[in-house]
Amino acid sequence: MPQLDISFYPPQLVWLAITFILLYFAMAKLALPKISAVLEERQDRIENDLTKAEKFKNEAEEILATYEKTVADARSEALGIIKQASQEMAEESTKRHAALSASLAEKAEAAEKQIAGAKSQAISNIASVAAEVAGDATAKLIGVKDIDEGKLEAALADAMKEQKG
Amino acid sequence: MADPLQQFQINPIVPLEIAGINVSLTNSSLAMIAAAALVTAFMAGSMRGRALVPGRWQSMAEISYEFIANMIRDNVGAEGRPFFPFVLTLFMFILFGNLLGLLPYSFTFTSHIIVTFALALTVFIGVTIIGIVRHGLHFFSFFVPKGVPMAMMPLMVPIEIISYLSRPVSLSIRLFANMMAGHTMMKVFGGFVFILGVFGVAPLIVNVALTAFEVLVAFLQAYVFTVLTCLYLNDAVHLH
Repeated sequence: MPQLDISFYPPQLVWLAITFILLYFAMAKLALPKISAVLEERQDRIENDLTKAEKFKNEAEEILATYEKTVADARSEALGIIKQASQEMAEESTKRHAALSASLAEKAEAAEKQIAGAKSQAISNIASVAAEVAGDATAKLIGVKDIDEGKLEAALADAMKEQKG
Repeated sequence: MADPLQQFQINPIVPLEIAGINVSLTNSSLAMIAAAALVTAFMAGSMRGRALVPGRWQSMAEISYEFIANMIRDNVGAEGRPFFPFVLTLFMFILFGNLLGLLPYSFTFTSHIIVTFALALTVFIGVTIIGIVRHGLHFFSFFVPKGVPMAMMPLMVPIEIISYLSRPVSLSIRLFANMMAGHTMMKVFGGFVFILGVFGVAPLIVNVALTAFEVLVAFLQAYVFTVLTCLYLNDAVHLH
């Protein structure tokens, strides 16, 4: 078995020590710092990106909140305006309604008064016309002139009462 | 049939002797140099881009880094950080040694007990020194198991000491034996392919399967060696 040949132990040990120690320093001073630097840089970059993303997310949420608040404000303002307008309209309409009904009542009263005036005038006209007609008729029929107007009117009033009754 | 053990033969390429010590550049040293150079090229060269979004090679280097970093974090904890370069070097060196050995005509230096034993002994001595530096004489309480009646101590303490001392032996033999057995098997079946003529297809198929299996073993044994190193480190750092 060549592994047990002691004569070749020294060169193997010497070269093992040389290569292993050189490799150790190549790793410790050259390769590993490079790799750990790259890994750290990547880690930093990822964390940086994550915090940035978090920041943007918070900003977006803030903007959304402001937007929603603005919308809510506008809506409540609009509701207020609508309410006020409808109230004003209701007031206006009751006012106008009252004014209209007042003027209508006035007109109706005036018309009634007019009607009453016309009626009483008509009635008095009828009485004088009837007295005249009765006087003329009496004059033509029985030839009596200058009838006492007081008597005539009393007779007419009696007749109209009888008619009415 | 060629000797299946011939592949483990060490051949000097450049004979050298310094202060009476044979330091010849051999096929074994060449494999070690190749492994160290390839690991450096892989770990440092693929990071040259320092890309934020890694390419294939950089991704593999980063995965290797994080694999060992997680292994240390899981097994040793935060105190294991200073040993990270050593553990990573150990893992990559053994892994590349195992994988390079699978190439035809190459040499597997991890199939030599002296190499694996030297690595295991380095781990063992290092871990023991770390334990003593960290805990002083209290470190030797490691050999006194908790919750054992005093009467059992004369038996338990020697067992604990023997099991502690046998760590470098088991650590080195596990890697050495796995690599040697696998490579010997591949050579034996390779020999059958030529002996059996047409029927050599059968051992050839076995050899294809064995090659895939050996790739698995190469990773697994490098992993086992490194994980055990981490566990020993954990013992030294935290005692029990």
